[in-house]
Amino acid sequence: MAVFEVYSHPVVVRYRASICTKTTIFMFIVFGLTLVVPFLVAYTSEGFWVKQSVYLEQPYVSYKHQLLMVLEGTTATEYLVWSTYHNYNMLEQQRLRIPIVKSREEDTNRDGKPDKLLINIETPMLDTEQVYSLHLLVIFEYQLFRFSSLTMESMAYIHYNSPRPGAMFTVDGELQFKQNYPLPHRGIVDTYNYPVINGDSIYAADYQLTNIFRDYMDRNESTTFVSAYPVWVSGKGAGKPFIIQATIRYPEETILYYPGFWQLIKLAWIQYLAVLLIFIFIFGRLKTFVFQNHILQAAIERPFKLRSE
Amino acid sequence: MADNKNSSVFFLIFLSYISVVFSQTGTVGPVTTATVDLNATDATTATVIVTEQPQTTEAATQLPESTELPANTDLGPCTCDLTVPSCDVNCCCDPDCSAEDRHTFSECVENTYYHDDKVCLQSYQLILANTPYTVNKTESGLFCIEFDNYEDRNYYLIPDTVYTIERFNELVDEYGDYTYERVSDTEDEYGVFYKSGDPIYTIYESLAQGVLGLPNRLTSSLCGNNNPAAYLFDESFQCTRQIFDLEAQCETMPALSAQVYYEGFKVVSTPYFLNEIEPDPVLVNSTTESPTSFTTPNATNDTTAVPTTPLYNDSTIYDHPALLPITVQNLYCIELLGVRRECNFTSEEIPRPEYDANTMTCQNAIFEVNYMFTTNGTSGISSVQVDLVFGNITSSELPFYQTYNSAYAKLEDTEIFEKSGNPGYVVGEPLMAGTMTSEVDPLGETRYSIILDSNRDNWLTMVSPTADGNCITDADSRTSVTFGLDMRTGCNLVVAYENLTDICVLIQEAVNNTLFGSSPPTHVAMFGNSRVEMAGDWVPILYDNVPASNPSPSTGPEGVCHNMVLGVHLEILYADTGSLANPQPKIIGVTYRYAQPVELKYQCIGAYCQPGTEDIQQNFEVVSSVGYIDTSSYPEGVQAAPPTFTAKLPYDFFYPFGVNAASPLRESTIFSTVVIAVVSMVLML
Repeated sequence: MAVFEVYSHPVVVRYRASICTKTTIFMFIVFGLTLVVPFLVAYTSEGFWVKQSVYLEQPYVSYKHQLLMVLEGTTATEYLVWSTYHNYNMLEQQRLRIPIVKSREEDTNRDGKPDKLLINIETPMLDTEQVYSLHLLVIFEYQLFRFSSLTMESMAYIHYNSPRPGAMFTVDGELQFKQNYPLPHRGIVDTYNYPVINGDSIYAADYQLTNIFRDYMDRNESTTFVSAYPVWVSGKGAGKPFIIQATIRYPEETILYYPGFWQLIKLAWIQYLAVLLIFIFIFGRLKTFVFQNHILQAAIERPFKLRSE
Repeated sequence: MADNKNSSVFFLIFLSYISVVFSQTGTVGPVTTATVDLNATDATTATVIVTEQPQTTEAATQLPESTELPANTDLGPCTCDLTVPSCDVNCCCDPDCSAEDRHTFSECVENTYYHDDKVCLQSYQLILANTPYTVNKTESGLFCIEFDNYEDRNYYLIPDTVYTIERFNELVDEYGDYTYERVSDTEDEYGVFYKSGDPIYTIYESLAQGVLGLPNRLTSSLCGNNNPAAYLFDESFQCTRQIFDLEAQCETMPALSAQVYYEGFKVVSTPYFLNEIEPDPVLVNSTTESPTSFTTPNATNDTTAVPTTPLYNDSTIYDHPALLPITVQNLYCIELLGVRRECNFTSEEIPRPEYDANTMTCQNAIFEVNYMFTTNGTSGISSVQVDLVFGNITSSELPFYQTYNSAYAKLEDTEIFEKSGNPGYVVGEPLMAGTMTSEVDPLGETRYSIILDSNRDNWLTMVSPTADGNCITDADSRTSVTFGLDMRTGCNLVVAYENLTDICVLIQEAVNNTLFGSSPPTHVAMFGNSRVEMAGDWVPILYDNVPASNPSPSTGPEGVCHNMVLGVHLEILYADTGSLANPQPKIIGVTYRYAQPVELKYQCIGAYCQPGTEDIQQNFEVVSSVGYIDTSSYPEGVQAAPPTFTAKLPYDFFYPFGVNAASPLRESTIFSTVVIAVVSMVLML
């Protein structure tokens, strides 16, 4: 009659030793190694602690309807300025030239976040005046919500120089987020939620472009206007205004941030556990080998009696 | 050739991964020439590869003998030997170089060409040695071929020469890519009738054929004359004309002359006409400049200007009724200060531009050309009119700009009213605004209606900026408020210290006139197509933060005016209505918000306000702005309550244990429930 296995179960063999024996010390060392070596392996192979990570978010950008414009001619005295800052206009009132500004923020995909700003500035000019260079500062409020709530006032700087007198300047570009350090994973970041141009000031130094840009560059988070496609059109007709047409797009940004504690632990734990399982297996085999072959002294407690006893 | 000792024969040996060049081997064969005899080399190497490409053998057999390429051979063993019979500098393999020459070489340039890609070595096994061989390690995988006994792998297949155009084109199709080859122009194909966007064909008196131009700017603001007018698209272009010498160019520049725009050519009413008279258009070479030089329309091989082509040698064709003359309709002349008046000459005697040496002006130059086409469906254009605007150019007004417009109307159209939207406002269109009036109809009921200005640019306006910055109150030069565009502009209030305090009230009146215009409208249309009879479709313009009449602008100390309002903001609330996929903006409220009254204070700083400088003027900005606020409320998605789970067990399923169990067993219910729980837990373990 054929005999086949109907059931099986493992047998526990217990090995006993007192504390101050080589066996106990060996077991402590093996236990320690089982825990520590996987950590070392996971750590030294890089990427154990995910110190920074990225996420994608389209910012909520609002054009603050604040502008500062400088148009320059050929000589030092030939320049025209205009801004939405009353104090600046008073300081430069001899060179003030009021344009007509038309702007529109478009939400192309109707997701509630504006996608681009179209701005059109027509500056009336005398026939004796020519524009060779322009500076335009456009002020925005820039907000991020997904991890940390960032709110700041930021700027797009549009500028161009040409050797030929201009009639029209068109530019199409993106307002790009620039960060020197990763953002925290939560909380409110409003460090830079103060004016780029201090319109309350009555001092000329606060409106010098050098000072504005220096303070702006000191920020850890800011925005830059990037455009590879400026077009300068010359040949202005008599009595015609100088026209600036700018399109500023607000693209989805890749934002660097410090992951939070639990995200950090979760990723580290997965890596540690993966290596730990291998080492538990290896050291388990090692211990079985050591005890089965009686390499170290231990009292054996068998679950069954040997026939010779 | 120099001498036999320096002649070299190159053998490439492929036994292993090293290519070796034996030079100066006097023992090898009876080779007497310095150049490599490819046929001789061929004899020493392996068999010729049979290429996969079809051989054009029949063509080849008829051709004179040519050099046959050996298979599996490096064909360029000494690519630096370019001069014969002379020694090339740094070219060690050049047989013309003597041993002494080679000593003077700083390096051997040919070595760099001996790349051996078949090396089966890791880069760390290589050490730097001063050998003439370089190793190019491209194998990045774990495995590489130590000994390659399949030679063909390392040599290009021998290509066949192409002798037939068919084979040539086959190869071009297979391997070809984009080239600089001139793209062949699509020939003019005249449709049966004009479609929107088509050019409008013209025929000159010379029977040369062209298209009607509507000059437009391209790279700079200068006019480009070659831009064709597009059929059925109303267009408006402004561009400048570069005039260097007004006196000389005034009478010679064609673009300044009115006749250029309507005389000497006719408009083709429908392109079908061109198909009829010119069944097979002939392309003609061009050598002369202008179509007027083409006076002999009798030969198709004559020369004319591009894009005009001679049509037909029947000169009566120019009088065909399908060719429409351009009739001059209105003539306007721009007089001093830009005022337009009817000219004092008729369309029969339109003058040419003329230079007036006394006033240094170019008289009767064309400032504006407005073409108006009347169209009638597929039968094309039924009439063409042109309005011309003349003016005098002074040399101070250079560069001088011109305006070109084209407009299309259907035959049955009478007076066109341009809506600002249908129904929702279109971005960039002017806001419809008018004044409400009421009248009592015969039934005794009061009827309200809106008076709307016929000029859509006068509906709701704000001040236009000027170069001198002054606040102009001229009603014609105001800027129209358009839907969807936030706007800001203003003007300079110029005041002097000495008389400021005397005219505070006058200043405020002037500012108000600037900000609101002389007769501000009272109502704004909710939709871009609101009707004037439906007064209920118009929202009243509200006023906020209105300065109290008392205290009115009042005089303060010297150089100060109190309670001055120097700005107004027009705020427009709108909301999208209709389908989410096709929102129609509707204006729901309009408010003029006055700026906070401020002190208009002449700034006494530095040199100002000192004796002798009282009349220096200071500028104060008056701000007029428009803002749009979207108040659309989006529909909220309503979720139905989740359906309740109604799966039911029979009522006696847990009969002895259920709470609904029959009364005899009730006392045991709690006990039995506990038993079940315990048992199930045990089973689970």
